[in-house]
Amino acid sequence: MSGEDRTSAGLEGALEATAASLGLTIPDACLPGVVANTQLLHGYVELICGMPLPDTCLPAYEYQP
Amino acid sequence: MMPMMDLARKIRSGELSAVRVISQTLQSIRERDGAYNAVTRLLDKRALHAAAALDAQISRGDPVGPLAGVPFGVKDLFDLEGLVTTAGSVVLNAQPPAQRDAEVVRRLCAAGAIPVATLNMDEFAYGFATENAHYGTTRNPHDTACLAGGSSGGSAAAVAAGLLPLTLGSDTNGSIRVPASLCGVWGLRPTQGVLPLQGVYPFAASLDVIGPFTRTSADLACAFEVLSGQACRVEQDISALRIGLLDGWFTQDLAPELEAGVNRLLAACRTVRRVTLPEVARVRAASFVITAAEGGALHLDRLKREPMAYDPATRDRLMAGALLPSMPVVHAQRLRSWFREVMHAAFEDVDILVAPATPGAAPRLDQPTITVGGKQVSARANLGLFTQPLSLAGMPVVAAPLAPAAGQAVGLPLGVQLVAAPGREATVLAFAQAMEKAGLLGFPCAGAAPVASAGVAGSHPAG
Repeated sequence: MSGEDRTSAGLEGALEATAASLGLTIPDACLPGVVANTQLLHGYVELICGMPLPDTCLPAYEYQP
Repeated sequence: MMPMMDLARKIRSGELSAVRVISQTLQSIRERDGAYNAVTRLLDKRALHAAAALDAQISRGDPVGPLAGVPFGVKDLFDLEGLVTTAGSVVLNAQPPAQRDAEVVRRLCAAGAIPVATLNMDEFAYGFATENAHYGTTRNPHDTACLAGGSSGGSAAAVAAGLLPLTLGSDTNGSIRVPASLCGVWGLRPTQGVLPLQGVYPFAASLDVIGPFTRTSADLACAFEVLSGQACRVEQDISALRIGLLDGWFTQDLAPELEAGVNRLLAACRTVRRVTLPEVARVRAASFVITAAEGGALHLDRLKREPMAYDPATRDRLMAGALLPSMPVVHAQRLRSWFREVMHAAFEDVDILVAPATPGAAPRLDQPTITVGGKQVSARANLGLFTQPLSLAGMPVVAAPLAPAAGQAVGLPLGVQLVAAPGREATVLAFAQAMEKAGLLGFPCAGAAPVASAGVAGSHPAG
């Protein structure tokens, strides 16, 4: 699903479900801000996941110059 | 206040007493910081006790360290023995006081430096503005109507205002380089992993790096030597260095005076080539995603218990990060590996890469936006446009203030990033010092700059 397809209302429901699975309750006052930031992050996720990488490219948890 | 090494020299020789220097520093902060709000706590008792002990050492003829009597401040995420480390928040207030200083604070103290203050920051280092709901906004000493940048804004502003000759900050996405640039001071983000993070409150652990701010490049090199234990003030012939100018992504929306300053700098270099890094937008996106996920995971338990105690701007970003699925986070870390190889390859052809630190000068407090791609976007979230991609790779970066153009009025500071291959701090610091001697880098202290009627009352509880 692209960022454009995600309506705020749909995203709110998805976020609340994910939050509940982690034991987090998003206060009503925070929901618009969390939705806005999630939409921003989804844009970044689409950018990075749009770049295929070879299976041998491993995550960079450590840096050994 | 004079530069760090000059001050230490006068104290070591007995020309100045450490107690006098520390007393005057504390007094100066009390008198002047109301306009800037760089300082959150003063450490009178500890600092004066250390200064008296140092003066006694000097009077006995005992050996003292290279930073003897140098007052310094730390971003409020470094542990100081006996104090609660706030990380710019109030949600840690119930934590026990630190039992010992952070390792890098201990190294500075072992060299004779004396901690005198904790410094303001964005809450949990999540921002480029130092607009803090709990401790107020840090103002730019060159124009107090403008942002100081962040998240280590207090650290940069304290040096720019001449309150302190040395401060420590942290840099996850640009939090040393952005405020150093906007405040016209020197900053160093060392190679990832070179400086220990023991006793430093984390933000996004896989990206976090700590480093110093100073008024001169020579002081920056000296501070790095003490912090790292590596010698880097050796004389180097910089004439043969191959310089690369980062283009493409790093040329967008640049202020004309910044472009002119970069051109003046490059005109002094013998060998310059243009370097285009691929996929920079995706690299920056990876920084955002890793930061959000790691920061969100760190705070999830507290966000469950007391979400409303957080700065609203921080809380909403942390919550969004905590709710990210794992796949894009892992993919971002894989993209990071790929980009490191790209950077390693780039350094086969050049020794130093040059890029702007921010697109322009400090935004105004009442208009905290910058232009990116023709759109006005939040400065707090986007001032790291040019810093975030480079820190993902983990290379050492000096944030260097451009010298004002000869014959023109001194405006607000502008800064560049000087990037070297991993472990090549000595090379990039030698280049920086040569360019400062040539009058192309370095910005005057803000002491004489006009200060807008900020109307901010200073109040610094002693720690």
